[in-house]
Amino acid sequence: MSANQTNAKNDVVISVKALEKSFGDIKVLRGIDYEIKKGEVICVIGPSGSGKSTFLRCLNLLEEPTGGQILFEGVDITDPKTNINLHRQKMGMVFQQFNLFPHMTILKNLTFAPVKLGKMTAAQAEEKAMALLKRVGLADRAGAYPSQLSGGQKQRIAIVRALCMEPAVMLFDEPTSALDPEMVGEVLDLMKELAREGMTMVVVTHEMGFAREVGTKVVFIDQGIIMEENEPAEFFKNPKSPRLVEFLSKVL
Amino acid sequence: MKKQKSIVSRITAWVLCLALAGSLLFLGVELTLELIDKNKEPHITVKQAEKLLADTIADLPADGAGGAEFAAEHVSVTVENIEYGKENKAIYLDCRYETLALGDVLQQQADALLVEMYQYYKENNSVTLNATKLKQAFAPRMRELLASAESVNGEMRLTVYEQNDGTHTVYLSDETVDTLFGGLLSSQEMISDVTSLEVDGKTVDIANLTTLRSGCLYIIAFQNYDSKIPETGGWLLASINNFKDEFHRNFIKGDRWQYLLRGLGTTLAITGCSMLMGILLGFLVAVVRVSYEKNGSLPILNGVCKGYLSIIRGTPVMIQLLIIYFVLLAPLQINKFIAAVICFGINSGAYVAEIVRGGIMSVDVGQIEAGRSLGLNYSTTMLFIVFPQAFKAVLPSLANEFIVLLKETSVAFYIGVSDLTQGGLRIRSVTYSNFMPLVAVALIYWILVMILTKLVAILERRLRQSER
Repeated sequence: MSANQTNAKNDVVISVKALEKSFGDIKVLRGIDYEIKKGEVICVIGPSGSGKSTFLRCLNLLEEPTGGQILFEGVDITDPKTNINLHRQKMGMVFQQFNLFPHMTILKNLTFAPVKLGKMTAAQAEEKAMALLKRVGLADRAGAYPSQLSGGQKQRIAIVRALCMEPAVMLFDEPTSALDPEMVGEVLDLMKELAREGMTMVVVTHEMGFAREVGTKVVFIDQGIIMEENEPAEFFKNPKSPRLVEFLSKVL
Repeated sequence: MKKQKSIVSRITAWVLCLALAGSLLFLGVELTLELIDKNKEPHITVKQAEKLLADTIADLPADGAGGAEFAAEHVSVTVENIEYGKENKAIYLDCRYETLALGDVLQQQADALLVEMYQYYKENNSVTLNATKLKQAFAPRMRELLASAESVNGEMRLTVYEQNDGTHTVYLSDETVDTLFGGLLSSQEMISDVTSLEVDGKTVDIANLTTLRSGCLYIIAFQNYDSKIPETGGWLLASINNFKDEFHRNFIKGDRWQYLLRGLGTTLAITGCSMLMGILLGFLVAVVRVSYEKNGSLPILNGVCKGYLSIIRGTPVMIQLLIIYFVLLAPLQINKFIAAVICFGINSGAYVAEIVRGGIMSVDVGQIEAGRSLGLNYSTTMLFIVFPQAFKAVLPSLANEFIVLLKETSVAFYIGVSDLTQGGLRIRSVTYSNFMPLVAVALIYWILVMILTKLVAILERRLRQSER
């Protein structure tokens, strides 16, 4: 039992304890407890304004939690003494609006952070970046600027940019919401591939198909708390809380 | 991939190149002109200055000579003792005539004035010399003129400057109006030779000119008309000839174009250096303001910056210049050029700060989040992700600011900086022409602005290309 527990503990990448977040008087997150284990793909769904994006952004402290704890690989990153920059290097993040650096070439977008942070030499970073670009079929665009790419290409580059840092976890904040419908597929395919390779992922999404197919767990956040959480098959087949039933009836 | 230099370094290189070019031009012009100067007549030494004074005094009419000698003794003392400014030692010998018969002044008031002068010297450590001075200045060459002059209008000044290298220079000017060394050139010309003037083959009798002021004017004018007065041949030919003469008189004669060239160098150097200082200062202030607006940090510094912006943007630059040079920096006895650079740098910094702040605030917050989410710290994110984008966004406004700055430096002549504007005004004060020097100065500024505008357009296109 105890051995099992240690094992389980080692497997936990992110542990969220009683997480709270308020903007002024508005309580967005009202006590969230959750554990994300290595290799899991957690899909977070919920109505808009439910706090799901805020939850995700709290995980790498883009939003400063107003209460509770977040342990990343056993370290409390909400502790002001923790150097959050070091931990962020291990948490890749992909944004709805891509947020590529428009003044840098694609290759520079990918290599800038690893080189700047001393993680790799310029040559190593370029090699790694080119290998990843080849993988996503965009090697020929290495010298292009973000504005020359389509939305789907941009988002794939944004994912690759995060991967270049060799993260332990990838956080996706509605990665396909800003895309034209015909480009959603290419991004989801890449994410599926990542999931298959065992990348630990937290995905805030409206793509129920993706959640059902790829997710190891689906989490329903509403009114700042986790209303329901389950394996995808069970989650979608037998939703328990009335709020989830209502939500699913609207989106499915 | 290697040739894809970062935008920041490219822009920095541009700015540095501009400043460097300005400074080099400034230095180059100074050096060239100094070499030219070397081939000209050497400065008058102390001994020569004293001898000049002694000679002129000896040349005075017998009845005024006693007083003059009295003056001469003290003049020689003052050459050594009076300090003027930091760079030059000078004695001023001033006279003022206002429609008085010359003879009256000379004969009735000479002694009284000399006594007055001596007292003035004892009180103020400088010399005011009246009737005698005029004689000294013009005798022997212009004595005839003065003797026959009915009345005198205006003021005369004879100045002996001690140069940095210890030599002395004597200048005679026909106006004491304290601008622009106006008399500097005219004095040299007058001292050269003005007794016999031939215009159109006729000898002009200078003695017939009624006032000294207009006398001086004519002398300068005649001297400058090397060519004949335009002959009759229709108004077109006449005006073309006139234009040629005017051009020659204002720019060619006496190498007066050098005033413009020297001034241009100074203007560019001031603009370049102020620009660098403005960018540096503006950026710092903008960063303080932005960190306050975004994170609420540095509240005290932010207050200081707000005060700075308010004062600088709320007062005229000319007043700022005068206050900085004559009040704030006065105890330091600082070089005028440096004072001008400090003033325009501080002034431009305020405008740059607001432009840059707007630029930084206009960069999408997602860019900062993307940078931070990769593990970059706040300053790296700002420096490499936000600033380059902000800079590009504000480049047109910054360029405009520097075009304004270039033109604004023209007020530097108020503290006596020999910039382009002052170069034109100097020529004007010597030739008494308005059209040529003023239009020339305007033209040069205009061309400079056009070049700058063009450069910025090229730079903008390059920056835009890098994103397409």
